[in-house]
Amino acid sequence: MLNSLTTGFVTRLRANDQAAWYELWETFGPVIRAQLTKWGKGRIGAETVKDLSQETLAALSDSIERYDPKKGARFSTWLLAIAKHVLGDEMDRRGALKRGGDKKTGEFDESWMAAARNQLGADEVYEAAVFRAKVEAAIRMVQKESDFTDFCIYSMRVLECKPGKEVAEALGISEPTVSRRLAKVREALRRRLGEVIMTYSFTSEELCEAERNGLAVNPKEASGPEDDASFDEAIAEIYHRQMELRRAEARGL
Amino acid sequence: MDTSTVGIGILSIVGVILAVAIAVLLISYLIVPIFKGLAWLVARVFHFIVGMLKDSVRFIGALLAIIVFSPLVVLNIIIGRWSASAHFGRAIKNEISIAGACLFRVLLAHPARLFAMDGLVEGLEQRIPEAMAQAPTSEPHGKRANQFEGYKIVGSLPTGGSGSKLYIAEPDPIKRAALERSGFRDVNQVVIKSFSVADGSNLPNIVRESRALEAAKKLGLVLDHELSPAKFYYVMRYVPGQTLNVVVQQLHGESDPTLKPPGLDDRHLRLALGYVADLARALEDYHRGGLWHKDVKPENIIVETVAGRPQAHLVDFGLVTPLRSAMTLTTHGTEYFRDPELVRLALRGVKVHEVDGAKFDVYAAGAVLFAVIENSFPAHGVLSQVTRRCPEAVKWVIRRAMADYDKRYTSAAQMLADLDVVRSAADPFAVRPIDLPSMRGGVVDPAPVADPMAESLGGVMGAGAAVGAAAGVAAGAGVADAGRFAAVPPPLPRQEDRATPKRPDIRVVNWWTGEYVEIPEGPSSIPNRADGPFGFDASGIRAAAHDFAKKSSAMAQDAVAAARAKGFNLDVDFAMGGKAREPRVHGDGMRRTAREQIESARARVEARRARAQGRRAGFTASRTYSNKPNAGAFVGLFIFLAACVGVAGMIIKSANEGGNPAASVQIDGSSVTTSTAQSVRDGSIETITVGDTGSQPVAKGGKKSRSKSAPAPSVPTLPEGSTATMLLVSDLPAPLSEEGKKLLAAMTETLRAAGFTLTGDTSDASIEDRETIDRLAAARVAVSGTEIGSPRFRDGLSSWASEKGVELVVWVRPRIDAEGKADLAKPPVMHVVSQPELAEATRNVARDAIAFALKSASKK
Repeated sequence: MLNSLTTGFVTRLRANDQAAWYELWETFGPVIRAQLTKWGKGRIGAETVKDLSQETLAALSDSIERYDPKKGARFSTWLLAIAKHVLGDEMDRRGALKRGGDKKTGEFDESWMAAARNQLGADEVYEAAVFRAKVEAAIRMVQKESDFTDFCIYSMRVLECKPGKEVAEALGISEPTVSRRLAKVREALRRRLGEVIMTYSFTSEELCEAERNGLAVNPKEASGPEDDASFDEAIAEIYHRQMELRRAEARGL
Repeated sequence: MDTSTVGIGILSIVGVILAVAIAVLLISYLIVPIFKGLAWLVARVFHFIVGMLKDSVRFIGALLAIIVFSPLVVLNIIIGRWSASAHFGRAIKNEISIAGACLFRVLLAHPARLFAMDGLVEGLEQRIPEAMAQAPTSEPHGKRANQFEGYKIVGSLPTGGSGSKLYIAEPDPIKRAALERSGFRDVNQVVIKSFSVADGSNLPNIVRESRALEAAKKLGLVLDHELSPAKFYYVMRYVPGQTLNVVVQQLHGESDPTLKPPGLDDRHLRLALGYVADLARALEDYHRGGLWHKDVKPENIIVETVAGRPQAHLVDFGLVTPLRSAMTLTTHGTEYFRDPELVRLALRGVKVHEVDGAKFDVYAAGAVLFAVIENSFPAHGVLSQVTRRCPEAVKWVIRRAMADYDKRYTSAAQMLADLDVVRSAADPFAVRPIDLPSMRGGVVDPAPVADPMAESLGGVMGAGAAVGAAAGVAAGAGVADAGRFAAVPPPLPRQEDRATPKRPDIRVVNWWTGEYVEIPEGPSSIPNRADGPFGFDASGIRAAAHDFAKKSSAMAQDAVAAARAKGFNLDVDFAMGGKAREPRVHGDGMRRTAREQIESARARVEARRARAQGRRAGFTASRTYSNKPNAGAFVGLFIFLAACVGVAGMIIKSANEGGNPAASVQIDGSSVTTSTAQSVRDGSIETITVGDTGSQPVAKGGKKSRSKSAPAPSVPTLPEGSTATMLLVSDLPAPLSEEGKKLLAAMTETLRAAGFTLTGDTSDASIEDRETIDRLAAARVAVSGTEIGSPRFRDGLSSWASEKGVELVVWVRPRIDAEGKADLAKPPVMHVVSQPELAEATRNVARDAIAFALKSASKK
C-alpha cells in the first residue's frame, strides 16, 4: 500500500523536480555505485562506475512514468534492474566497439517486475545496503535540522562512542545536558527515519525493515533507556558500515 | 574418613584448580599471542603470495595490451588517423604505467610488506607518478617561446580541465620594469594561463575565466592579461613547489608509524595545520576582495619552501567568481570538496549574489583539513569520520567548517582564529572545543599568538619574528602585523598593501627601452613631505619660490620696458635661472611641431603593433598543438618496430636452421627441384620433384641450397671404393602401372649404377624376400600417422634408419589430384631421408642420381 509520502516523492520525480532527483542520487548513489563495482568485477574503473550510476538515474527518469509499484516491486529492485540494464548496455557497447561496429541502446525490458528478485541479484547484501542508505539519509536530514552543537554531541556520543563525561568536558557542559540534547537528536532521528523509510519504501515488507534491524522508529513504542541504547547502537553500526562503503569507494578513486 | 585422606583430596582439588588456572593463564598469555602471531605471519605470507600472483598476472596483461595496441598506433599513423593514433598512444602509456606499478610491487613493495617494512614503500607508486606528472615539461623553442609579448616561455605545466595551456615564463626587462611600476616586485618567473579557441579552449571557459579578471588584478593575483579575439591569457606569479596532497602523503609517511591510532605526529600535525591556516588566510583575502575561489582542494594548494619555511599558496582561480555576481550558481567544482548544498541551490536556479559564496569556500577548507588529517578525502560529506590521530578541537573545526550552510563558520577568519588557537597551544590535544574562539560566542581574539610553525621547525625563526602577530582577522582589523608574516608569510599580499603600492622615484635612462634607475630617498633629494631632514614640507617652499620668481620676472619685464621707454639701452635675459632653455631640435636643426611629433609617435606605435600582429599571425600559422602522435604513439611505434625486427630475426633464424632451402637441377631441359629440411640431430629430408620443360626453377638461398644450371651429363656415381645402403619405399598404388614400373626400374638401375646398395621396392624385388618385406613394413610402421615429408616423418624415419643401419631412405610418393586420388600421369615426388653423419658428397650423388632416374623414366 502506498502512503502519501511515497506517492508524493514519486510525483516529484515524475514532475522532474531537480531537488527530488538530487535527493535520490545522494541517497542511493553510493549503493548503486557499490553494486556496479561488484558486477563490474574489475572490468570497469571507478570513473566509469560514476558515469554509469548517473546514466542509471537518467534511464530511471526516462522510465519513471512506466513504473508501477502496485505490482509489488521494491523501489530498490527497480533501481537495481535499471542499473543492471545500463551496465549490460555498456558492456555490449564495448564489445561492439571492439568488433568495429556500433550497437544501439537496447530497449529496457519491463518483464523484470514480475520476475523473481534473485534473477537480478537483489540479494540480502544489496537490500541491507539499501536500508543503510535510507538510515544515512535520515541521519543527514537530522544533521541539517538539528542545532550544530546538539548534533555534534550526538555524533561524539553515539557515532564516535565517546563517554558522556568526556563529551561534557570537551564542550564545557554538564552530563545531564549532554543526555538531554542527545535525547532531542535521537527523537528527531526516530521521526525522520520513519519518514525516510516511508518515502523510499513501496512494500509492506520494506516498511518492517527498521523493526527487523533493531530500530524502533516510533518514539512512543520505545519506552526505556534500553530501547534508546539499542537504537543508538543500531544507528552507530549502520553508520560505520556506511563509512566502510564510502571508504571502499574512496580507495577505488 | 581419615584426615590425611581428606587432606590429600583437598590438596588434589587445589592442585587441579591450580593446574587449570595455570593452563588458562598459559592459554591467555602465551598460546593465544603465539597463535595470533602465527595467524599474522600466515596472513602476511598469504597476502604476499596473492599480491605477487595478482601483480604478475596484471603485468602480463599490461604487456599483452601493449602488444595489441602497438600495431594499432602504427596502422593509424599509416592511414593518417592522427587522433586515433594519439588515442592508442595514450592507451599504451597507461598500460606502461600499470606495468611499471606492477613491477614495482612485485620487486619491492610485496617483499617489503612481507618483512613488515610497509612504511618504506607505502604510496610510492602513487607519489612518484604524481610528482612526475606535475613536473614542468620541456621548453618550447623558436617562435612559441616568445608568443606572449614581454615574456619568454621556459617551460610548461600540466593543464587542468578548462581547456587552457599553462606556461612558465620569464618577463623581459621591460615587462619586469612595468610590473614593478605596478607594484609587483621580484617577479622572476610567472605562470601564463592561455586560452585559444584554435587550441581547443571553449568560449564558456574563456568567458568564465575573464569574468573575475579585474577583481583578481586588484587583489594582486593576476599581474597582467590580454584579451583579444584570437587569444586570451593572464599572468600569475609562479610558485614552485608540490601540491598539498603530495606533501600530505609525505607527512603521513614521515610520521611515527607506531602511533595509536595511526596518523600525524605532533610535529607534522603542526605543519599540516599551518598549511590549512595559510589556506584560510588566503581565502579571507579572496573574500575581502569580493571573490569566491570555488575550487579549493589539495591539488590547488602549492606548498613552497622559502628559506626553509614551508608555506601554502592557493592557486588556480579558473572558477573564481565575484561574490556579487548576478549570474546563476553553477555546479562547477570538485566533488567531495564542494558543498552538496551548492548543488541543490544551483539546481534551484539561485543567483550567486543571493548566497554567501565565502561559506562554500569555508566548507572546502574544512574538507581540505579533513584530507590533511586523514590522508583521504571526505567521501561522506559532513558525516565523514576522522579515524586517524587528531585533536578533538581540530575535529570540531572540521565539523564546524563542513556543517550545514547556516551553521558553519561565517568567514574564513573565524576558522583561522580557531586553528590558530590549536596551533599555538603547547599540546594541541589538550585544547578542548570549548576553548576555541568560535565557541565563545564567535568572538575572534585579536591577542597575539606565537607562531607554532616556527617552533615546529626547531626554532629556525627567532622568537621575535615568531611572536607578536595580531590575528588581523576581526572585522575592521587592518593590515596584519608584519611579525606574523615573518614567521608564516601570507600567500597573498594584503589588499591594503596593494591598494596603495609605494612607487619609487625613478629617473629614466633610456626612453626607448624604458630603462631607468631608482632615485634613492635621502638627503640629496628634496623631500616632498614633512618627513624631510628638517621636518617641514619643502614642496610648499618650492611652489612659493616658483610663484615668486614668476611674479618678479613680470615685475622686472615691466620695469625694463619702462626704462627703455625713457631711453635707456638695456640688454637683459629674462629666462628663469638666468639661462634660457634651448629648444629641442631634430636632424634638420628645426624643432618639430606638436602635430608632427604626435604623428611620429603614432607611426612608431603602428609599426610596433604591426610587428606584434605579424608575430601573432606567425604563432597561429605555426601552431603545432594538435592530435598528432604523442609520446605514447612514438613509444608504441618503437615497440611495434622492435617486435617486427624480433619476429623477422626469428623467421630468418628458423629459415637458416630448419628451413626448406630449395635447389633445382636442369636435366635435358626439364627442371628437377629439390628442397631440403635438415636437423642436426635427426638428419635431413630432401624432396625431389620433376617439373615441366622450360619452367623456371625457384632456388632459395640458404646454407644447404645450391643451384645448378648445367644439365647432368651422365649417371653420377659415388667415389671409387665407397658405397651407401639405401632403402627404396614405394607408395605407388598396386598393381603398378607401366609408368610406375618404368620409374622403379630406372631408379633401381640408376642408383645401383651410382654405387648404392639398394634394397626395398626395387624392380627386381621378390615376394619371397621376407627380410625385405619386414624391413619395409617396419619402416612404414615407424612413420605411421605422420604426413609424408613432414618433420615428424623425417624424425621418425631417420631414427628408424639409424637403428637399422640404413644410410638413405628414398620414399616414392605419387602426386594427389583434386579428388584426393593418386595422379599417375604426373611424375611422383621423392623424399630422401639421410643420416646426419652421411657425407655431403654422397647425399648430392643420391639426389642427382634420383633426379636423373626420374628424368630418364619420364623420357622413356
